[in-house]
Amino acid sequence: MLSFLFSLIFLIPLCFLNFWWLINSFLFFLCLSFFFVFPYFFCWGNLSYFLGCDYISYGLIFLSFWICSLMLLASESVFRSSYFSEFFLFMILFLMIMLFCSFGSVDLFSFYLFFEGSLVPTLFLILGWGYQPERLQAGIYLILYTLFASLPLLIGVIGIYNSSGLLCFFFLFDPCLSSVFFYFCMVFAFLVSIPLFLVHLWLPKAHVEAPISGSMILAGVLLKLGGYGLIRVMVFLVNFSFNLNFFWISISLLGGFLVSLVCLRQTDLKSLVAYSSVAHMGIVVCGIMTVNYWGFCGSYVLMIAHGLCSSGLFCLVNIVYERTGSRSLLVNSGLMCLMPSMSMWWFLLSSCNMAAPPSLNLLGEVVLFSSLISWSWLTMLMLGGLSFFGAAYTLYMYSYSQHGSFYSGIYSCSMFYVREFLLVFLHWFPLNLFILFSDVVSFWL
Amino acid sequence: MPNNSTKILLLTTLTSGILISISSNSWFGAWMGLEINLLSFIPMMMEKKNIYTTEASLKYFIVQAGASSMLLFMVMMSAMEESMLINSDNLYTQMLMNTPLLLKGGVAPMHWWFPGVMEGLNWNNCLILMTLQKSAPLSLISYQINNDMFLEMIIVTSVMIGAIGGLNQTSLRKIMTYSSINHTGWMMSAMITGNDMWVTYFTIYSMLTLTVVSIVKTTKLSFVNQMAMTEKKNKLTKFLVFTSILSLGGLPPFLGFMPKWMVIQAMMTNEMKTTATMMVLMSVVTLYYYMRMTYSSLMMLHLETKWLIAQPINKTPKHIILLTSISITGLMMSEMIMNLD
Repeated sequence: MLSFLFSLIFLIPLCFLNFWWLINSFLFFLCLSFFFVFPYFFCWGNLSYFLGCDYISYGLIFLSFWICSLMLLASESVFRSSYFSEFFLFMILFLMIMLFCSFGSVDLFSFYLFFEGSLVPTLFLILGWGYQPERLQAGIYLILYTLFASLPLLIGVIGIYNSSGLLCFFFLFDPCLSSVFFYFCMVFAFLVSIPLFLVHLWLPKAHVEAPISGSMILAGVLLKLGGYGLIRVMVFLVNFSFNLNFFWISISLLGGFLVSLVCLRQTDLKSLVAYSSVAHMGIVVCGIMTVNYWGFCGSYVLMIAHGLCSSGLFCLVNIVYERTGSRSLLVNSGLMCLMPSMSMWWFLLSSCNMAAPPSLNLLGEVVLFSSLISWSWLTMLMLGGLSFFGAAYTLYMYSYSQHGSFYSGIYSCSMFYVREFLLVFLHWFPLNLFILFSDVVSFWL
Repeated sequence: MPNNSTKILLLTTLTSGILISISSNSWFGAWMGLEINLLSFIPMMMEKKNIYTTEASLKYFIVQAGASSMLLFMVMMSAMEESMLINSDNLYTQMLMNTPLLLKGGVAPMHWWFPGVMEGLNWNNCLILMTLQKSAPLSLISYQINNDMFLEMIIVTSVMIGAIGGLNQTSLRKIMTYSSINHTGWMMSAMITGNDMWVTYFTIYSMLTLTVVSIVKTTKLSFVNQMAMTEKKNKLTKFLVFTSILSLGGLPPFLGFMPKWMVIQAMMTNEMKTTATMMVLMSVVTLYYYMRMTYSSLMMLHLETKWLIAQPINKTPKHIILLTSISITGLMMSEMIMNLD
């Protein structure tokens, strides 16, 4: 693990020489070499210094390597127009280091530290390379929402340290908390960063204002930090979570349903995808909060799947945005006439988003639904609505953007670059390939 | 013979005043040190012969002289009861002795002179006022401190006033003042929970303040809107330099987070979780104004005026680079060096 950390750190000097594609290929190379640290056992492996990984961290570190390399592939326009591209590369590597350390750290405090640390480069990506002046507001929303919830987490972490005497994940399985206050502190920070329904307002704002790289990393990895943290803390919060988790489950089920309805009336493609990720992550929260085996497995699978899928959808939206200069559904209709071959990728990724068969999303949703229904059959009401409207808004997005007559104000644009096909393919391929390795992604406990 | 020999003399007497007061073994000696310190800072403030520095030094003199005479009065009162050498265990006596010292340090309910005085000074004197001038009163307070309601109230008010007072300010000096008030609240709680932890907090705080002040001094900034006018060319340097302001705010991967972490841990060990929660929530509020200071460096492309009021830095001075790199990477370095478990 430390070897990967150091190879990331020593990539930093290359940023200032502006070796864009070299860094991109190095990130892919690191990603492939990360295959070989696969933990073949149920507990922590590859321990070195304060880093280590088990199945959960392995998958998420892998995801963050993958998304970071694809971020460079997606935001090639930063390099082409030399829009402070050295600095951009530095930010991506800094973010990657923070994510690597936070997923890979073996104790709760350094997880917290790097979890907070990953906010800073994200903020810089949004404020630095975003589009409208409103990005200032979005950045403030992002930082204040997440910090407001996660500084109490620090108090909770230190409270656990005082009562149990250690913070290492591997030894933290006894219920050691004494008050509901600590339970709330531990859980709420992760719920804001996932985000849970009532505290989700920062996410669509941040997505709308962020550049493509910011959106990809937000949807792809940063939301998963919250889910990862919840999986880690639920292990030792059991004495409170059996009594209190129903609260979060009901909020996020109802919220997911309402957010699906909100999705149906979006006209901004990016904010539609952003709201759809709120709905999907709501099911992830439910799965973790049921505190059963299937719930944990399903949440993990859906986190990986949603990371690839929504990041791919954001890429598609950005490909369109770079050509028409708008994200509005009114301008971007009838894209099938303009980019017929990209239309297939729109279809494939949309079908993954509505959990169509060969995708990892399907596996995740099936496992999550069964865990939730085993928790209480009443959740079926909301789950039915969630599932149906999830398909409905994805179909709405697909059909409205691809079919119909195209905007007559478009002058000329290139139909595609091979880079963009590669980009979308690299999102879609693992999403449908990993269903063949579903034992790896789901049976890790 | 250097040109500013009076300044050298005054700086020496100022420092010796601090040393006398923190190392004296009787309260009378401590009072004397404070007076020497005050009387050598007053001529230092009046560097330029304009009305602002005169006004500021007058305000400072009145407040500090009043506080000193109150302190002397309290010292004599308690000396009539017991001795001048020992600290009283009586809570009321402690409270009465602490109040003038808190006034001297500019801690929250007695902070009203602080923004006004800072507004009239140049950046060097602001730095002295925010760091050196606090050290003597704070260490005198740390000799006779107890975890009682009075100090809890002081902590909570200074943290809150430091956070909320800075929100609507446009002057950088006022923002730095309120941030100083907020940090003093944290130092007071460090003082309650651990013996010399506040010294660590104070040292790191002074270093971060030194970083920020040396940046704004080199670029000759005084208001928030002028921050956009510095250094258009080298965005990376600008970004790195202004990130040290976020470090002062205590955003996690930077050095400024470390003292806060220490204080929170000590407070949790002492079962002060309500106060600790209050303090961390208020530090979120302070981050809002720190972020407002750094907007111009966080946004890559924004409207910039062609004419510059502020002096552009063509080449960032070496000492700023050094201080900035410490304040940004300090925590990560110590993370790598220390074992966390």
